[in-house]
Order: sequence, then C-alpha cells, then structure tokens
Amino acid sequence: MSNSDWPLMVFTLSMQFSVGVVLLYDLFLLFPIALKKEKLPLRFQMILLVALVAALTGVVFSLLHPGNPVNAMKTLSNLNNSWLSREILFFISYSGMLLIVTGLQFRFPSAVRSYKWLLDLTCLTGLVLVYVMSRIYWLPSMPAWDSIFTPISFYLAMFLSGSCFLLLFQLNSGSWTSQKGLAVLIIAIPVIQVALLPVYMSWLEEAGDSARQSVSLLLNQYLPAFYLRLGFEILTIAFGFWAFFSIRSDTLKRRNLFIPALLAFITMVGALVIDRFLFYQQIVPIGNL
Amino acid sequence: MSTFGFYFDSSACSGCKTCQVACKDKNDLQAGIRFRRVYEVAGANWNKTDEGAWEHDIVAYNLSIACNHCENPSCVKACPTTAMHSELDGIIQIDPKKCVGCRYCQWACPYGSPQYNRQKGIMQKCDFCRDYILDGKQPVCVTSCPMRALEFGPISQLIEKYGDNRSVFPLPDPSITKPALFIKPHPGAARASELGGSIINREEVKDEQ
Repeated sequence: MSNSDWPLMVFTLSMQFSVGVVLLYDLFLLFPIALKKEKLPLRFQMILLVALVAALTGVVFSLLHPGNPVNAMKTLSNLNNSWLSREILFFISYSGMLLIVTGLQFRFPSAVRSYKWLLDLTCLTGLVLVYVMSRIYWLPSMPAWDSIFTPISFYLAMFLSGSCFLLLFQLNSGSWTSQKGLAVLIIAIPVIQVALLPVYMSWLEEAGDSARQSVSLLLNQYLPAFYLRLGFEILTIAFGFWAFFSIRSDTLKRRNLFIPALLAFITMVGALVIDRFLFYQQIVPIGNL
Repeated sequence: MSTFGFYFDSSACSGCKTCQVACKDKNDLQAGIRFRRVYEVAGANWNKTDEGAWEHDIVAYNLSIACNHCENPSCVKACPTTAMHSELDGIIQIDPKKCVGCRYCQWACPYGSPQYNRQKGIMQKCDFCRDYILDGKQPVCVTSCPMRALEFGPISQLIEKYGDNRSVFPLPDPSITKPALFIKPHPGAARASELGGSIINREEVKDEQ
C-alpha cells in the first residue's frame, strides 16, 4: 500500500460511515418521529453532528491525498468524463447539505417535519456519492476493482457502519422496533459480506492473469489479514445476534444491549478497516506493468 | 487521435536500456522516475525428453515502453482537472499548472506511463520529445538506441511499413486504449504466456515515488 492510499482509505470509510449514519437515522429514527409529530430528543441531535464530523474528517484526508492541494478547486473541471470530478462535486454537495441540515436541527429541534425534505435530499446525494466513489475504482486497468463487487462492497460498508453506530447511540432512547431493525442489519450485512467472498474470489480467478495474481496476494501474502477480517465479520454477526435477543420492549432491560452493541461496533470497525486495507493492497495492474 | 507513434522491434532489443537512460538524461528526471521503462520478460519450463534427459525451453525478451499516446486515452478521461490533455497533433501532455498530483491517471493508464514527481507534487510523462519533433528531430530514445529497435513516425507510415500489431505478452489488450505503439514481437513471445512468463525486473521499473 503506497503512502498516498492511506488518506484514501480513511476518506472512503469516513464518508461511507457518514452517509450510512444519515440514511439510517432518517429511515429508522426521524421518520417515526416526524410521522407522530413528536419533538426530536436532544440526544438524537448529536447523530447528525457525528456524521458531519466524519464528513469533515473526509475533507481533511482528501486534501492530504493530492500532491498539490493548492489546485484543488480545478478538480471540478472534467465533470463530463472524470468520475473523480463527479465525486468531488457530490462530496461538496453532500457535505454542504449535511452542514445546513445539522444547523437547522440544532436551531429548530421541534420543526423536524419542515426540513425533513432537506435531510431526504442529503441522503439521496449521499447514496449517489457512494456510487460515484465506487466508480472511480471501476477501471479496466485494475481488474480486481473493475466489477460490480466494488459498489456492492462500498454500500455494504455504508449500511453496516451506520447501523452499528446508531444501535450503540440510541440504547435507551430509540423504539424497540428500530433497534430490532438495526440489529437485523448488523446480522444480515456481514452474512452477505462473508457469502460474497467466495463469489468474488472465483470471479477473480476467471478474470485474467492480473486478477488471479490478486487472489494469490490475498491468499498468500495477506492471508493473516484476510482471516482476521473474516473473524471480525463472524464476530460482528455473533454480537448482532446477541444484541437482537437483548432487545426487549421493556426499557429497563435495554441496558443489556450496551455490551453486544459496543462489541459489534468494535468488530465492525476492525472488519471494515482490514477489508479496505486489502482492497487497496490486492491490486495488480493489467499486464502487471 | 494521435498522428504519431512508436514502432518497437522486440526481437532486436538487447535490453541495454540506453533508451531509458537517454530519456532520463534529456528530461533531467530524478531517481525513481522513468518516462521510458525496459521490461525484462522471461518464462521457462523443464521438459523430460524421450531419452530421459531434462531440457529447458526458456523464453526471454525485452519490452521498451513509454507513453503510447493512445487513441482512446484513459488517463485523459480520468484526469479531474483536464491537466492531462490531448494536443491537436495527438500528443498527450500534462499541464503542470493544472495538475494536482492525485495520481488517478496513473491508476487509469494500463501501461503505467504517468509518473509521480514527489518533489513537484505533480505527474509527468513522455511527450514524444515534442521540442525535438518541432525542431524536425526524432525523440531521444529513438536516436539513442544502438540496435535500432525503436522507430518514431506518423502512424499511417508505421502501419504501412510494419503492419498493425499492437499486442505482445504481457501488455494489456490494445482494444482498451488503442495505443500508438506498433510491435514486432520476439519469436518466443507467443510461448511466454503458456510458460508462465512474467516481468522479472519489477523492482527496477516500478514507480518509486
């Protein structure tokens, strides 16, 4: 992994985390509150702030990536052709809208319904951002990235990180149905990730010499990291089940949720960091030039 | 579309790397940056003969590769600032005032041509020695080659003279970017893939920036 890839790793993960948090917050927490015309709990206001901090972390790390950040504004010059230009456009749009909606939420916590449309639009922009982000890697010159598996992996990372964080955050304040829903996601997404692994590996085996070398790298040079990632994913599933069965409609018993939710969050972070590390590490350019 | 191209006779190349060194000298490139790279490709098997002896069928040859100024340049499409652009004469150049050094062109190019200059924080690459061409001269890699394995000229002339073969193991499928590079493969190149051939001087040619 070259030095220039570390900022990219932090950038992609923090942005996917941010979008995941905002999207699931909108769907699981804000939607029921807006429907019932209830006031937004103070605790919930912090959620968007965390998503905003994650996005701003992305800004800092994205500026560490180019060799000459002084010209950063020129990166919007090739929107017609370059996925990188498009990513920067959606990145600016998403972060800007998130900043506004977070400010509105702190200023007018009881008027959620009036600006929920802006949050919905932020979610939509975030979803497009994650897709555009994945298209950057969809290059014929890099066979290990050049497939539908790249956007799938990015979206799964987005949903998993978002759901783990939200479950941990709303231990005593969320509805038990939303907690159950988040716990189901924490179980289902790593299951999909583990199930996709052999499919992806067998696809790589068929995708030419360079792709086969990527498999060889994963199964030889990076085998310990590969197994560690798998282990973290399986642990996340296990903690997801523990969390699911700890959720009761009785509020007092929700305290039992803290330990499995925290453990699921920690193992999720481990799995995603190693997964993204291997993503950058496994590339073998076409022709291996 | 590029109007100029390189012809490379892999069967004539001795791998002396004079082209690589002359290019570095002419462009005053720091250590680790190579606009032209000479890849050493080799592969071999041991086979048992009918008499019970063992013999090898080694294949070894060189590929001298720079920017191929492709007809369908993936680096130009990838560049977010339009610093990487195609001139009217088809030569693909980098505008140093626009380049942010994001290295996306390096990912997109299947030939590893754009090179990162850490000191300047920008990308650099072969421009066919455009200043020489404008003076009516040939690129320095071509004139320096002691084996006359490299040639430069208008694409139509090169195709007429040498045919339109643009592929050789292990170069990428030319249909991806349509490189302006015409190749006479080494006679053993066709067997290199089945013999498990690979680039054996990877440490020497990789981008160290």
